[in-house]
Amino acid sequence: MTAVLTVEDLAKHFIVGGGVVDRVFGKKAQVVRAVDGVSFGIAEGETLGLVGESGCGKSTVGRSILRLLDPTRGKVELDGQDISRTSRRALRPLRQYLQVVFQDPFSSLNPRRTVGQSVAEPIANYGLAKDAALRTQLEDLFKRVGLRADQIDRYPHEFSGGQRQRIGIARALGTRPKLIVLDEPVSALDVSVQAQVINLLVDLQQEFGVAYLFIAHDLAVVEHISARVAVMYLGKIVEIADKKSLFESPRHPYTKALLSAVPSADPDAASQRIVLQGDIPSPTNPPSGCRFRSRCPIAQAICASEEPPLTTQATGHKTACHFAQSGPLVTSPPTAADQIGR
Amino acid sequence: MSAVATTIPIPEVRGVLRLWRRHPNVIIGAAMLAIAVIAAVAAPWLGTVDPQMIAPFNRLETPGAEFWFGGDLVGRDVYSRTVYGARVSLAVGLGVAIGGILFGLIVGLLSGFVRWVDQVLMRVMDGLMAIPSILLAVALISLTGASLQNVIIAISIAEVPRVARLVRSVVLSLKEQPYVEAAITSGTPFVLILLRHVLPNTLAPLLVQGTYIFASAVLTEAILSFIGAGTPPSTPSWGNIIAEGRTVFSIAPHIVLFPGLALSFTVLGVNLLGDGLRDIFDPRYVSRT
Repeated sequence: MTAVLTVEDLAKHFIVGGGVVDRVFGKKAQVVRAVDGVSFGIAEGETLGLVGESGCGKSTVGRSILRLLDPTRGKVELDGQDISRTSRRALRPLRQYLQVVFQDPFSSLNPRRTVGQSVAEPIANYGLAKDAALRTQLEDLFKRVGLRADQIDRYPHEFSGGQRQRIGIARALGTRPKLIVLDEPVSALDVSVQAQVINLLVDLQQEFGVAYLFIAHDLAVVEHISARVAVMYLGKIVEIADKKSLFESPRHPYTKALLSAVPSADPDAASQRIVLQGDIPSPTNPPSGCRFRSRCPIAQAICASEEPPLTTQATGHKTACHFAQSGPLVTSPPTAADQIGR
Repeated sequence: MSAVATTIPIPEVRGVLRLWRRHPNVIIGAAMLAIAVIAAVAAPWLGTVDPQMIAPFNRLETPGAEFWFGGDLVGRDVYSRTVYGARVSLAVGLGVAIGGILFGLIVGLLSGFVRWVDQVLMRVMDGLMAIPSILLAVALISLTGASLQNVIIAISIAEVPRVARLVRSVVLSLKEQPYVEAAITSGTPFVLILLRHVLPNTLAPLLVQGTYIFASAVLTEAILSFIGAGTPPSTPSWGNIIAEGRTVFSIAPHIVLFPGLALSFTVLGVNLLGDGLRDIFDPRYVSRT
């Protein structure tokens, strides 16, 4: 399988403050390292789930790939072509293959345009269909996402949240993209509607062969749709693995803590919830060494001085932890054997 | 729900009635403005005489059956002068509203979208705003000479910063809207994004702002005329009628009273209209029926 998207050492830093007034009062501009060196790839027709707490930079990754933000450093290759530095003009033809569905179904459609106009916009931009052909294509798209053809000329306020998200998906599919960035596409929906939309996304993926970058904070949702999952913490990927490997044998203490927070349907299952202490640190001043060490139950001296690299633990399973190990999270000090094992 | 909305057309009369119940300000304000506009347009047919005609016998004549609003210092008919004066006031109000919005829109769109332009333009606008608008207008007119056209230009320049700031703030918030970002990732050219997604959403607040500009321009023109920096004395305007009547206010208050009332009436009407429109466009007032 060839990679449709390759992200290498992607970083996005925001500069906060540093205006004239701040300078007068001797305040220096602060750098927010929202995304600080992230690498992954997505194969054709594959879904990569990207999870993490709010503020960990997962949406910034999506927006940098879409070039709604200009990356500070790193490479983003779409179909082997680097798009991280391309001029806006040169980028336009490439955008046809790279679409997006946003979280908020209410503000992602222009309230003054009919939903048909909104869905037709990308198709018309690339001259893929006109007049009657465009109409036929719209009707087809509407049917495929589970809406009726006679709803094309209605306005967004006549639809429910779930329906609007279907319209957003139809808009993203119109240009036959190779990759769709789904930025928390179901977080704003009711649980029952969430399932419908996720199933729709799975069906559409099989039909169109499109790859997804599925950004979410809900592990249960990600588990259902993803082939591989990447866990982000404070601007870095701490663990990336095949879904099965990640959910069954997580190796990073953060992933373990996240998984322990997912409610289980089995009342007899021993629930061993790992509650992380404290808040996510500020990305303007991340902890030295391992960024997770300030909240990590197994942190040692080495964690403060050395940043653990993302290393391969098992086939297709990479973890960034000095003491990565599968099995339950042991809070006792790691033995020498643990360290040799990594 | 939607089937009903699309098949039954709402009769015009019922629409107006509903508007009257919900937003009476709009109707009252629009009616008051309409009266002023009719007076200005139809001035020659409203029982007026030549507003410049001097009749020494009628000097300081009190209001009565023959001279509805009385006569002024040199015996000109105050009623005719007041009615003709509406032309100047409304022309200035409309001219400034259009001119100010047009230039403010251009400046606001530019600074909302282009970062370095924003830095430059907004500092210039801050500078303009720091000068009281009347002082600015007086200075501009003393440079160019008093004429209706120059009055409109001078007041417009003073209004541009307010419009520019409004447009800029709307553009900045719209830029963050997912539907605008979706248009960017859909490959929509910049100009089309502007025309399709940004401009239509700035129109509502601009229309409201336009009515306030209109009202304040009418007042500013009257002030300019009052201090002699506005319309030349050969053209009657509410400001210069009041200015001329000021000296004899204690013995002939009607010269000041009637153009003053006309001024208040027009400004009140426009402001009511603006308030009503603001309520209609405010999303918090939107009723979902």
